Amino acid sequence: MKRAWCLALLFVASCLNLAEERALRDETVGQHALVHVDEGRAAVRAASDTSVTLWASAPELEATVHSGSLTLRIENVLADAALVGLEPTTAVGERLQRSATEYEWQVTSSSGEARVALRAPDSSDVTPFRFLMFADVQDALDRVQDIYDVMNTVTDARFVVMAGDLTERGTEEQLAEFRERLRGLAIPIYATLGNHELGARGDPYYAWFGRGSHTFQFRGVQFTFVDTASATVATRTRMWLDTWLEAARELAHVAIMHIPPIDPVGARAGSFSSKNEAYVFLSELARANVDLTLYGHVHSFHAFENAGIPAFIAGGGGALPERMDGVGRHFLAVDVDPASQRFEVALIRVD
Amino acid sequence: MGTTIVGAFACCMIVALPRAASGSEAVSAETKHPPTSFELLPVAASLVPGFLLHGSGSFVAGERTTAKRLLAIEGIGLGLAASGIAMLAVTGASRRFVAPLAGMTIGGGFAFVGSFLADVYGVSVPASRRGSPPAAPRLEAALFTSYRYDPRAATDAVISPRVAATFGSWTVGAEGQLAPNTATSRLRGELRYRIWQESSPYFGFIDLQLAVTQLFLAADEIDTTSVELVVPLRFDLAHIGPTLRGAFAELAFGGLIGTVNYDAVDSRDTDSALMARGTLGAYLGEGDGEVKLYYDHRRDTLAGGLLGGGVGAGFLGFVGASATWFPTRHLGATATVEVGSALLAGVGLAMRLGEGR
Repeated sequence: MKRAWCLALLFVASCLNLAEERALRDETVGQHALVHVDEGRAAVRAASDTSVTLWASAPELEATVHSGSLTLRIENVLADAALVGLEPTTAVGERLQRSATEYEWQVTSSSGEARVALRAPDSSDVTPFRFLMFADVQDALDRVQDIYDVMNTVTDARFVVMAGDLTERGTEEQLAEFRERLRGLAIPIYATLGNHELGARGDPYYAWFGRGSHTFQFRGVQFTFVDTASATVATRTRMWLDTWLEAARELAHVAIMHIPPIDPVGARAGSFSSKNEAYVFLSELARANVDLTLYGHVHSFHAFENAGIPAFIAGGGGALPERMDGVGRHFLAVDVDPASQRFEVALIRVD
Repeated sequence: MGTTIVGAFACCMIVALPRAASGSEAVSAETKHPPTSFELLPVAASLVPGFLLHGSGSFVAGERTTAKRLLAIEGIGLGLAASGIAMLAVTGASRRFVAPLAGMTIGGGFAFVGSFLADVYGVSVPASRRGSPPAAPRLEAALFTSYRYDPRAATDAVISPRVAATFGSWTVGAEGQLAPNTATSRLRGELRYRIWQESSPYFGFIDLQLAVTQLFLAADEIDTTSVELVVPLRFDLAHIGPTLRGAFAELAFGGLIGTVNYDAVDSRDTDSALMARGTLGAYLGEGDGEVKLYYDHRRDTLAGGLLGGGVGAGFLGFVGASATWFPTRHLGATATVEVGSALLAGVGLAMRLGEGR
């Protein structure tokens, strides 16, 4: 009987800690015997004795290569990005383009260990720029090229951020298809996962697209992705977030996540499981001067404010749409002025 | 909206209870039908195949009418829940229809689960253990302390005083939840009006409830104020069959609107929610108390909402169990366990005085 009670309590405790395991998975991203990517800013997609393939989840990254000579292929890269050696003993060969967002370099090191960095030429430029945002493709993978075609026509967009639900169930096959179809998009995409990525055993998302919660800085703007796929934020993620928020307090800051803390349509409750947690979380973002929050999960478009922060839900990636909302498939074009920390958000309809 | 769903549930019950036993029939029947002792076979049947075919336990016990009605309620519940989910999918959870469709899904789910639990109750609780409803006291009070475990917040002790007074059809009540470790306090006042009440041999009611709740998350300088209007309905399960004497089902539907103040950043948001709660309960002794199992769709209490794994994340409220027992006329004990995104478990003392209704 005592054993049954203990098992029941353990079961309840594990149910209350659903997202924690994924936060631990975040910490393993980018770690491999041949390569160590700082802060998990790339997933190691493939590795052999002579080559490593990374999936970048940020415009810039730094890595240590534990090899005297290696072909480093990086996918999801800005067209004008360059790989540079960070130590005199490291030499980086000529860049070879494999597709619009895939490049390859030969990395050699006389010491047997190379430090390299992927750099964007405009990373320290704080003039206004544009990025795109969308979410919730799910089972509409076969039609996602329509969205990419429109995205490809948006001038000056540096990259796309995606707020989760790339696929219907997050299986290897579906993630592979999502990856394959990204070849139709001319710019990189940086994502977090959604609840629909949690339908497959082992959460293969991490091996394909990297961390669920991560942050990077680009042109004076902090981009922070938070894994809210279980309608909560893991304790470990909250600790990282404290550090990220504090570091970016003086910067323009955009937070991207899948499930919004609060659904503007209360009866639908497509939001955090605990309203109290949602309030506290939003308060933390607001107190850290986060300037913009972008969400998915709800298959419609909403513009509202949460805790005084402008908020947008743009779940128009093609998944079963909300009817009678007057919005079909869509994405957002966000113009940001890092100096004034102002964001202007435009809805772009695909259908 | 709430009254519409309560009405729909009442219609389902009417459909499921063709020519439900009149009062006199039921009284004469119920005196001989509840099992006098624990019988293994009906109990086993109520679980397997009763888990799928609700009413199996009653069927094996020879209560064919009760079994058929429970099976009908299971079917209606399943139909309502499936239709609700299907229509939510078809409309893409449209903001125009989500409230009634979610209410329909929850009501159907409750009827589905409730018909299973009712069957288990009907064949496993002997006649000698069947209780009857307590008379509404003039004054009720309780004070209990709970342990709150939330992996995302500090573990906390919650002190909860509660008081309610009944004057005829009106009940006015207040309760608090004070959690000093996390500087959280939740204060609630409510006013209930009894629209309709069913008395002996059955006990049921329909109320109209207005409540105001204030939540203070002092450490984060957040406070919320909400107003909710809910229609709670209690249905005596003896209407379904005499073996269910002493058990009841409660459904409550309504809506909530409120404001959230973020004082640290001088910002205010509005908020709203669907209120839906399904309870299955049984009376203890001769008006000595009751035990309840419930699902509450709200997510703004200290329990939060259930964390779903996989694609079903979000959307759910919390589940709970509570018991109140008065071994003496005026003094008793109460215990509650609630599981959402946090675990809340507590025990306390209860007091009741006079007759209010």
